[in-house]
Parts: sequence; structure tokens; C-alpha cells
Amino acid sequence: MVVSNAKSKSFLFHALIILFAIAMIYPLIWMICASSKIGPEIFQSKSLLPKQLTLENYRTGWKGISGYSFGSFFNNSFQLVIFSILGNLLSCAMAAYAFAKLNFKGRNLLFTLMMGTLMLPKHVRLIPQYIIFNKLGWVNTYLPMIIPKFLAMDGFFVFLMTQYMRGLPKELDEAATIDGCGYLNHYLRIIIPMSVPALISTMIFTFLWTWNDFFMQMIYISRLEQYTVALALRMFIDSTGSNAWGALFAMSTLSLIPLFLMFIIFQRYLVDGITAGGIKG
Amino acid sequence: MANTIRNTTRQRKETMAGYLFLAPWLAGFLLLTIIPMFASLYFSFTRYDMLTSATWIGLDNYVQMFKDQKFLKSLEVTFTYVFLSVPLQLTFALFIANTLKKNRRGVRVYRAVYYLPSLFGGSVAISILWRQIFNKTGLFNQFLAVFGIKGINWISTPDTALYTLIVLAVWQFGSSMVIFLSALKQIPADYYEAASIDGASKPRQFFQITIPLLTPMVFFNIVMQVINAFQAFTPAYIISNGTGSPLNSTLFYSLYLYNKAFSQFEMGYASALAWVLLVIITCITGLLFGSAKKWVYYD
Amino acid sequence: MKRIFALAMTLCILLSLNLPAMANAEQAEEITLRFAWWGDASRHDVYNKICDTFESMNLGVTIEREPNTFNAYFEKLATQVASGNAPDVFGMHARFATEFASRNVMEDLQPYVDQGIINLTDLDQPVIDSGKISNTLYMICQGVTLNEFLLNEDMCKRLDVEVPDVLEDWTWEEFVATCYDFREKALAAGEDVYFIDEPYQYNFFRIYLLSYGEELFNNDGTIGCTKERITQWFSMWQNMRNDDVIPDAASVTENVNATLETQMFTLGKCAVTNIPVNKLNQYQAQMTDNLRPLRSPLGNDGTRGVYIEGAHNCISSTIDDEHKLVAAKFLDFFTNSEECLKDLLIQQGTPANTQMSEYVLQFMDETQIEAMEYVKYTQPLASIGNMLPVGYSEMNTLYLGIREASDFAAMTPEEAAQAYLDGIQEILDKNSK
Repeated sequence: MVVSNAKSKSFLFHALIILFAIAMIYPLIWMICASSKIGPEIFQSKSLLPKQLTLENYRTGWKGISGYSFGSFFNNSFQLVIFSILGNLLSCAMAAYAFAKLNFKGRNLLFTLMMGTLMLPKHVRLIPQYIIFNKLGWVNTYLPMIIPKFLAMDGFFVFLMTQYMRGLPKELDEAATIDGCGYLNHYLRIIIPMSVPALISTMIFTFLWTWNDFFMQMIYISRLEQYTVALALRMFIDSTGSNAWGALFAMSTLSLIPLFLMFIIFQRYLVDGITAGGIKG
Repeated sequence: MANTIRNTTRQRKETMAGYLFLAPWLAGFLLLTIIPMFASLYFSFTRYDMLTSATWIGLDNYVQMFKDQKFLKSLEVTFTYVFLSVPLQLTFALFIANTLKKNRRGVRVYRAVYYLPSLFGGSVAISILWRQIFNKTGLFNQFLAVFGIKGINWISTPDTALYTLIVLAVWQFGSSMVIFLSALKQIPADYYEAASIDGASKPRQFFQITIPLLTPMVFFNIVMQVINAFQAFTPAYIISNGTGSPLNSTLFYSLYLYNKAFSQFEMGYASALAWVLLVIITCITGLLFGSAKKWVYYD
Repeated sequence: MKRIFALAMTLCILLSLNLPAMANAEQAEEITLRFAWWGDASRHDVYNKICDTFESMNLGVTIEREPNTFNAYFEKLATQVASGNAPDVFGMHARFATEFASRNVMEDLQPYVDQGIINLTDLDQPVIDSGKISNTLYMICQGVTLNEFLLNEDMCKRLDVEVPDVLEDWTWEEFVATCYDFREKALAAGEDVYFIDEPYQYNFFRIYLLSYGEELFNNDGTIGCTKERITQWFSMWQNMRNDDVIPDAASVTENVNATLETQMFTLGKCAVTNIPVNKLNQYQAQMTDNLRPLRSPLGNDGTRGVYIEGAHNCISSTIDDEHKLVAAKFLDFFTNSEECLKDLLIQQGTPANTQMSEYVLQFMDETQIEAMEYVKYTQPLASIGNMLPVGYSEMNTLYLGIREASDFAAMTPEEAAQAYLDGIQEILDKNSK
């Protein structure tokens, strides 16, 4: 009796979750179906399923824009993303450590300033920023996107890791300082290993947001050979002309795959494992 | 005496370490952030069309704002958006994260599936998908028709357009969910074991153990979502291609600012708008930080 | 975990070897010309091809291309101009032309015409003049088009609704009567379709004014239309909406923000829409019904409202003389050379150069020729709009907002007219300071 009760409870749990999940990803299903529809069928057909399964849109979409294929766009996006992740992991964790674990004069003021930089809309900083990057000769390179990441300019992640590190048990800090182990050691040996979930979150989100960030890339990148996936996808749609929706849906579907894989691969570091370490406190 | 000396040297060391760890951020702040910020502050006191140099007009831009109906409308739209989308999204994210925190069979797949919507970001695909769902003949109305309800054109009716964007924000709850998931895993399992032995029910455990221990991340999510929601820009493109239609019902603050700057060439006024927004967000996050001492619990 | 970090590190090292390729590689070409434009994917193909041709015909010249979408184009251009990094040659839209011209961003091109570098002998005077602002030639026209109706002929035949022939004219009164007639017959046939989707653009309001002998602006920069006329315009649409002869306001709003493929017209929910005629083939490609141009109505005294609209390129005023010279050659190439026009065709409207519009005929399909023929016969009759003032982009936004308010009946036609006049005056005053 108890067993069957638990079973039916589990069944209910799965049924509800699956039902809700389908509702959640219906738009994605629609998009994947549309990526196999040809031309006017996409918007004029009433059926969700395509008339025939074809990879035609994937073939034409992959050809990209004016001789530059999506192979090149994906390659560019990966380069940009990998450097961005590296930059954010290195610099934001350092800044977060200072804000969360060290006590020094001016800390609160600097923290307030850091938060303040998050609150000014990017559009009004655009021109002065462009002037600086232009003077540095960085226009038409990825440097305007990458260098700020190495300088911890993504306040979101600094704040994220600060919060996470603050939540780590204090006893460990005391133990470390009593041991006389230096700050660098404390940072590298104790705080970083325990902040893995926050680092992984940083990685996943940097990947996602850099991958999808259209604005900065549109402003600083002009040449097709340097185009990223986000830029190329926008190029498929123009409000003043006719649009390759099929190809757009096909390539949008492809562009979700790396993001999805990233999550699948790293979710276990996000939610598992670390409880075995020193955190059980 | 010796103790104080030890303390001051320790303090000096800690200060030095603090600034060393902050060095990259400080460099970035001084070189890449502070100049653009001050430049925009300066522009806010000028008439600046971007194509010719700025002329100083003092407080005119700020004064003009109070007479600007569209500015007031955009405030209304943005506040509605922030105060509805942030709590709804976070509650939803926390609920799902808590449901999916245990590693039972299939949970990994579920997590991934629930994370999927946020992968879209503000892409072009989303803008067309959302219209296909919420227009007159869209999926949502087909669903309502099952119950005999005849739906309206949700996405282009002034009273409902903004709500479709709030639904969008809630739908893309994945990032908050991920942050909650990693924080939930920080909570030692033996807390729950002890509570179970004491006979505490599941909901009680949730409110007495999970929530208090989760507060640092709840706080983080609230602050960040509020900051981001106030600056929401891309969602507006989904409905109106950036015009704020219908009847300015999706005229987000950032969108209005953007249009002032780049379609009307009033960068001076746009900069003033930006600094007013900064003050508004600062006040609200200031309140949040102030209240944090009361409810955010650090170990 | 360690393995993954090791993997990531190796990847980074490998990629960092690639870094120089990512940085700005200055090419040792003799001269590099930067060219920015907006458009859809097919236009990018065409423009890239044209750039290649120009490079092969002018050894030592490299064209650096900066394609963009319309929505992002002017933001990027304004940022570039403000930062002293404007492209050498760029496309310009009528909505923004006065803004850029009044701030000396564009080069005066008359000297290049006088020197014979840009040849305008095969262009009609109104077409040349479409590139002038305050009597200065800032832009060279590549193609001309007319903003007219596009008709779903088959739908009208199915419902047995009579509409004027291709080059036949009609008045606004006849137009309104047809809207009623169509809706009645459609409902009788059990089809929930409308005659027209409501032309929302500022351009089209301008056509209406011109057909009654008024204009948006006088040449001295004052308002050129009367409250009565504007009221009449908004009443026309409100009355039809109240009688369910045009679609409801929400549908129109959705339609305004839709791309070509998802507009009511393309989806077969109405029989007429308003487009630049050269886009006929883009719509036809989406539909099986036969489409054709239909003239926009005349005023009751027979005045024609439709006016010539051009697509233009211009040269940045901030570059050095050597670049300006090559840029001028490039503009000439764009307008006058067979090598360019065989690819450009009617992307930007009927070629501005009359010789070229004959030349391109051999490369075109039936619908493209249909559109060209239409322009050929109608253009000589079309009006030439007055000069537009600074602040036009803001006025455009203002108009769209008021039209929407009128659609949702948030304003009466009189209120809408008054709000329009007040708003425009305010913008004029602000910009004359």
C-alpha cells in the first residue's frame, strides 16, 4: 500500500512536470517545426507539423551571408565566448573575494560604485566608450567585448560571487587566518574550490549572454568575416525587405545547441558534488 | 600594545590585499567606465545632437522632463513591468528550483528543459514566436477556445500588450533558477535530516530552513532583476519594433531614452533621462540593501 | 573538474595563437573605402557583388563593407559620426537626411558633378533634385520609386469587386465606396477579409495632403496643411472603422509591426496594401494570387498626391580629398554603370539613370518589369515634394503616435488634428533655436 502510494505520487510528480514542460517549450517546438517548412508555408499553413521533413532551410541557412558561412560565424562566436568566460572567471572572482572576504578602508564605497555602474543605461555610455575604443584602435576587433571582461566590468558576476562567498561558512576563514596562510592561499586553496557552483554559473551565463549579445557586436564589428552568430541571425531579418524566415529558424535552432550542451555538461557541477567537501558545516 | 601593532599591520596587509585583488576592476573602472559615465553626466546638462558638439544649457533637460508626458508614461510602464515581472519570475524560479533540486530520476532532463526558454534571450526568433502565440489567431487563443472563450489580440491591445511581455520575462526564468539551484545545494543536507527527525513537515522545512539560508541569493536575484528590469529594452522590440506601441503601452524607459538619442538626436536629453533612471534605481536598490540587514542571513 | 579546466586552458592557448588574426589587420592596399548600407540578406549579396566589381575595375581600391539592418543602421551611423569614425560612403534615408545634412556630415557633391566625376546627364531633374537639401546636392539617387497601392487582383475577382485598371485613376470618394462595397461582398461570401489594411505611414498621409493641394511643409519650413484637411483624413479612417470596413485597431497595430511575410496582405486578409512599387516582386514571391499596382486616389479636383521618392548614397564630409575622389567615382559607378546595374536592378527602385532603366530590362522577370513599366508611366505625372525640415524623424514618430491614438479612438479626428499641428509646431520651434 505504502509502495503504491509512493509510486502514484511519483507518477503524478512526473506527469505534472512533463505536462508543464511541454507548455514551456512549445515555442521551441514551433520553431523547430517551422525550420522544416518552406517559404510561405511557415506563416500560411495552419498545421504545426511541416508538410515534409526537409533540411533545405538548414542547407541554405548554413551558407550564411554573401559567401561567409555559419561555420565562420560559429567559429567567431566561440572565440569571443571563450575569452569572455576566461576574463570573467579570472577577474570577477578576484574582485568578489576582495568585496566579500577582505576588510579594508574604502571597500563599501567601491562596492557602491561597482553597483552604480550597473545602473546607467548602456546607450548613453555608447559614444564616449566608442571614442575610447576607437582611439585605442580596437574598433573592428573583439577587444571592446573581451577586455572589459578581463577588467571585471560585468558587475553582475562580481555581485553574484560576492554574495556566494559571503554565504560560505566563516569558520573556514578563521581557521585559515589562524593557520597564518596568506590571502592568496586562502583565495586559491579555500574560497575558489568552494565557489565552484558560482564559477560554473558565471561560466554558463557568460556563455549565454555573450553568445546572444547583439548590441555591442553590432556597434563594434562591421566586416562579415568577423561576424558572430548573433549578428548573422539579425541579418536574416530586415523590416524593409523580404526575409529568409526558414533559414533564420533553422540557424536559430542550431545556435541554441551549444548553449544547451553547455548547461547539460556543467549542471552536475552546479548542483552536485560539492556537499561532500568542506561545506558541510 | 603588541596586540594593537599586530592588528594594524594585519589591517595594512589586508588593505593591500584588498586593493590588489581589486586591481583589474579598478583599472577597468578608471579607464573604461568613469570617463563614459562623467561624459554622459556632462551631456545631460547640454543640448547634444551627436553630430555637432554639445552646448551647455544647464538644468533645462531636467526641467523639461516634468512637462514630458511620454516620460511620465514610460515611468508608469517601467514601474509596472518591474513590480510585476520581478516577483513573479523569482517566485516561479524558486518554486521550480526547489522542486527540481533533488537528484531523482529524470530530474536532470527536466532542469535542462526548464532552462531552455532563457537560451533564446531577446533573439529575433522570439519576437516572431511571441506574436504567433499572443495574436488574435495565436496559440493562446486556440487554447482559450477549448473552454469556449473568444480571446482578443493580446499583443496589440493597449491594455494587455505589456502583460504579454511580463509573461515573457517569467517564461525566461532560467537564470534565476540556476542561481537558486546552486544556492540550494549549499544548504547542508543534515539540516533537513534533523528537521525531519523533529517531525517538521515539508512546507515547514521550506520556510524555516530553505528560505532563511537562501536569503543571500534571494537578495542577489531581487537586486539584479530589479536593476535589469528597470533597464529592459529588448522586450519592447518584440511587440513594437521599438516604437512602444500600441498607444505607448510598451514604451519602456530605456526604449524612450534610446529613441530620444538615436531617432531624434537628443543625446543630451537622453543622458539626463539616464541619470534620472540611475537615481531611481539607486534609491530602490538602496532601500533593498538597507532592508537586507533585517532579512538577509549570512552564516 | 580539473580535466575540464585543463581542457579550457589548452583551448585558450590554441586560440590565443589566433589572436593577431582577430586584431585589426591593416591591409597595405593603396586606398580603402568604407561603405555602409542597410537591407535584407539578398541586398547584402547584391551590394557585395557590386563592391567586388568596382574593386576589379579599379585596381588598388578596396571597399570595406559595413552591411546592417535598417533598425540598427542609424544608431551605428550616428555613433560612428559622433566619434569621428564615419564610413566614407553611406546610404541615407529620407527620414534622417535633413538631420545629417544640417550638421554638415555629408559632402556637397556639386563640385564632383562639375568636374565630370559624377555624371548626372541621364538623370531627370526631379530625380537629381531628390538628392538636394536646402538646394545643396548632398546625395546621389540610385533609384526612384513611388509609394502606391498593391492590389490582390484575384481576390477582387473572386468577390466580384470592381477596381480601377493599372493606370486608371480614381478619387478618394470612389476609394471609400470601394472599401464598403468590398466588405459587404466579402461578408456575403462568408469571408472575413477587408479591402485595405490602413496605410499607416507618414508618407501616405503626405500623399493625401498633396492630392488636395496641401503639403506637410511649405518650402519656407512652415506647416503646409490645414486643420480641416487633417481632421478629414482621420475622420475618413475612423468612420470606416466604426462601420467595420477596415480592420480593428489592434490588428492594424500588429500589421504595422509585422514583416512582409506576416502582414495581413501577405496572409490574404486584405486585398490592398501600401508599398513602394519596386517591392512588387517581393510580395508576389510570397503569394499565389496575382498582384499588381493600383494607383493611390486623386483629390476631388484630380490632383495627384503620389510623389517621387529616391534611394540615395552620400559621402562623408570628414574624409580626405583622395578618399572623396574615389568615393565620388564609386557613387558614379552606382548610378551610371552597366556593370553595377546588372546586379542592382530595381533593388532601390527603377534606376535613376534613364539609359540604365532601359538596360536592366533584359535581366528582369515579369513582375519586375510590371513594376518598372508602372513607374515609367506614372513618374512623369507624380508631384515633387517640398523640402523637409530638420526634426523630420521626430515628426514621423509624432504622426505615428497620433494615428495610433486615432485608430484606438483615444482621440477624435479634431483632437488628433490639433495634437498633430501643436506637436509639429513644437518640434519646428525647438529646432529653429
